[in-house]
Amino acid sequence: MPGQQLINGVLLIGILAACISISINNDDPNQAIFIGVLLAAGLLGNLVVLPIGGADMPVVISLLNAFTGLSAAAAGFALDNVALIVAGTLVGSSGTILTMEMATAMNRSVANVLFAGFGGAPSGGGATGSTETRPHVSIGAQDAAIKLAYADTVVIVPGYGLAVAQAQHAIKEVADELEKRGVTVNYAIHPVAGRMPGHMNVLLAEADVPYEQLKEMDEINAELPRTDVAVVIGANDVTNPAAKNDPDSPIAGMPIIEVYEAQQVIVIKRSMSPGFAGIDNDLFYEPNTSMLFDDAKKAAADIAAEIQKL
Amino acid sequence: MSVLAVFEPGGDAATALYIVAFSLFIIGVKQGTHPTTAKRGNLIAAGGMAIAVITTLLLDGMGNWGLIAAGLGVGTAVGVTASVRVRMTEMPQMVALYNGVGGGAVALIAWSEIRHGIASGVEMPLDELIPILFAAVVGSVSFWGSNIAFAKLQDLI
Repeated sequence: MPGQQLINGVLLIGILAACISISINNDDPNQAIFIGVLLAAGLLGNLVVLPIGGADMPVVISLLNAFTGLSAAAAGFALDNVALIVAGTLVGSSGTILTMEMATAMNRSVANVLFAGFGGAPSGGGATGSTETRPHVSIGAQDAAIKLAYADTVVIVPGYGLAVAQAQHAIKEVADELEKRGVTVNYAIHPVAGRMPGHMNVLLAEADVPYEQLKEMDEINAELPRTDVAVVIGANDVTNPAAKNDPDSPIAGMPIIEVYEAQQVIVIKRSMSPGFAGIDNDLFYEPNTSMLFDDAKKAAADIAAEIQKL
Repeated sequence: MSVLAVFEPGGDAATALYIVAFSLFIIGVKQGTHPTTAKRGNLIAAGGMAIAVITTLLLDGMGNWGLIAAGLGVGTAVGVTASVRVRMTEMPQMVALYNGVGGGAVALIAWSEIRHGIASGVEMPLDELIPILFAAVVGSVSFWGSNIAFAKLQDLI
């Protein structure tokens, strides 16, 4: 919505003005104005978060978390309670650090996350003309199972799709089958994969994936050139080489999991549809990439069953 | 004077217990930075919070015990039930919701402080009024923003 920044700005100025008026008349603060401030701030909270896309939610939640901490610290000053000040400051500062780190991981500023409305609607240009007809290779569960079973090292790259399909147990089963055959399996965790900070870690922990197998982006990127097969399951933008190669791309400069460095890539996805950023992923058209079109959970279960049969 | 005079705000016992609680918060946050220790860190921080709550309740001037007990009871019941029932995949929503509740509580505290100030009839010092206003605005933004985040993650909007 084009006028939105304006409305938000007017609201913010109004809130500040009302606060100043209450502070000036501090001999008899006006409760009606105060309630107006509460309501206006609530409306502002609604308006700021409403246009933000799902994939930016981790950053938003972390930022709101920092806000809650700061406001609690302020309440501590008002109530003259040290505990509230200390606890609020701890939450506020750790929330702020987390927010900045996640924004950095997406190569965007916090302001850009809040105000750009990124991904809300395809912003003209490339997204509209993307009736992509480049050739890609499509395979089935059996082929995928063979590629994986005869590999030495496999890296699994999970994304939000894994959470949606609840495929964490199924993918763990694939990993178990592979490990029985002596394949080394690791998981590559992008800092902003999923919908909250640490989403993938929590999800995989629920399926009893050992923590040592969860590798952070920098660590796994060094390993990927020596990896036989990378399995991308439910992730998209965080693997898009356009972030590195195309300076005009909306995700240009975002650090990615460099799966294209692996000998072979299997992408498990329901369709060729673009990810949250609304852009095509060049990875899908690489000669060493195979697409497995299916629901993440079903695909993983099928692959596990096929590996067992080998 | 209460027999618990050492529990006056700033009294020795209260200060000592608060310091223990803060140490536990910091250890908890530190342990939360690694998956293998995160669970323990969470419990340690929760222990710190329990000490902080109990210490605050023992402070001189506390009253309205019925309301406090009711609040603690309802909050505990809702919190425990929700965290036991929530599925791992619904964790983001839960984090958003709980965060919002925190912000909302702060905004309500600010409101009650303003009412206090008005009822007392004396001028509210700015070093009290400004933090109250800050808490009200930011708490309210956080409450509504978190609710929207919850609704989006839950696919309600």
